[in-house]
Amino acid sequence: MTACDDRRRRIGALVDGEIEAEDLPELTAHLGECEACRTYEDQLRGLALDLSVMADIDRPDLVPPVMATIGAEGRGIRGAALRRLWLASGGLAATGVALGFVFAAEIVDLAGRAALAAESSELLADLDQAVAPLAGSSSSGLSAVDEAVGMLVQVDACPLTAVLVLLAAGGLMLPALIGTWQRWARAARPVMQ
Amino acid sequence: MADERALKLSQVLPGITTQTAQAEGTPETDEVWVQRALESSAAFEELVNRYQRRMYAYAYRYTGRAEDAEDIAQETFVRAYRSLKTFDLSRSFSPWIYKIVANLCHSFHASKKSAEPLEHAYELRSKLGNPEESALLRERQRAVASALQQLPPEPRQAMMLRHLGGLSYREIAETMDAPLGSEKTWLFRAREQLLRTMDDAS
Repeated sequence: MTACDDRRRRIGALVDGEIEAEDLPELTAHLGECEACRTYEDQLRGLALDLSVMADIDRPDLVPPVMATIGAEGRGIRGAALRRLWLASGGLAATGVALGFVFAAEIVDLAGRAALAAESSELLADLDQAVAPLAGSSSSGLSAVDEAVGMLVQVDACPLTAVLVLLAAGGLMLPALIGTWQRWARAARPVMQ
Repeated sequence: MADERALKLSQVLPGITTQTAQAEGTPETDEVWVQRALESSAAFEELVNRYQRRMYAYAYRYTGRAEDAEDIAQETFVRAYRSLKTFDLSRSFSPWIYKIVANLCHSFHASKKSAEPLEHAYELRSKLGNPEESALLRERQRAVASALQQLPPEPRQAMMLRHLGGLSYREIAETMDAPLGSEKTWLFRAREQLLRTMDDAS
């Protein structure tokens, strides 16, 4: 490889305006004394001119079809993202409210159970006192009384709890369902005009 | 001397002059418009306006067919819009959108390998009034366009990004997902082959 061959790459960079600063003095000096490299530089400049002219062609106006396609896809991307965020926030808020109801119901339920338990304990104590004189006569009878009173304090699960859990799940799923529907609608729409 | 060289360069590389003019006269960069387009799709129109000539020219020079070029250019903008939220605002918009059009052209090329030579790809506008000069210029440009189409894919893409797109070396490497050294080699090989082909033709 001759010194000129080696410089050809740098002449290309010079024509492109991408020459390294440290290469410029040596290359400029060489071009001043080497006719072959000057000719090569002129050829590259001519080629660059020919190629740049190729970009100058008649073209159709792409704005109307592109904007029509984009417009059909909906509003701004960030706007859509914000809407999805609002939907998700709404879902979360609904879920929070529903869970709040569930916890409130459970707390009321527990308080009721505690009160009943206290009452039943007192009742049992009274019963124990009342039946104390009969001690030894029927321990199994006493157990039966305890069992009956225990049944009194059992509280069935509140049916409202199940409804609220269902509402919470629905609130969580709603944004996901809407998002899926939007993606499906977008995919079904033709891209090209 | 340096000024003279810069003037020469600006004459042969319109991409560079466009970027300079934007930097000096137009405060709103492409990236600002990307931000606006993220808020409202109407703002995307400005980006279409700015890039439609370049996207169409790239696709036209690549495919050689006006209809295909129009479809590819349109699809480029639609895909760009859909992917806008993934665009890194700290980077330049130009290599990003050129990457989309280059990929679409590549896919198009892969699906139409058996396509016949496309003569009308070499149709060029001539601004010269003199019919003889105009015919000569057209003939030379036809030869350049033909030689460009004969290049291997990577050198051809690198040349088109450089001269039709006005991208810098760094931006070309970014667009082509290639090291800077490879991209410089492709450009060098492309130029050598183009000059040889043109020399043989003349």
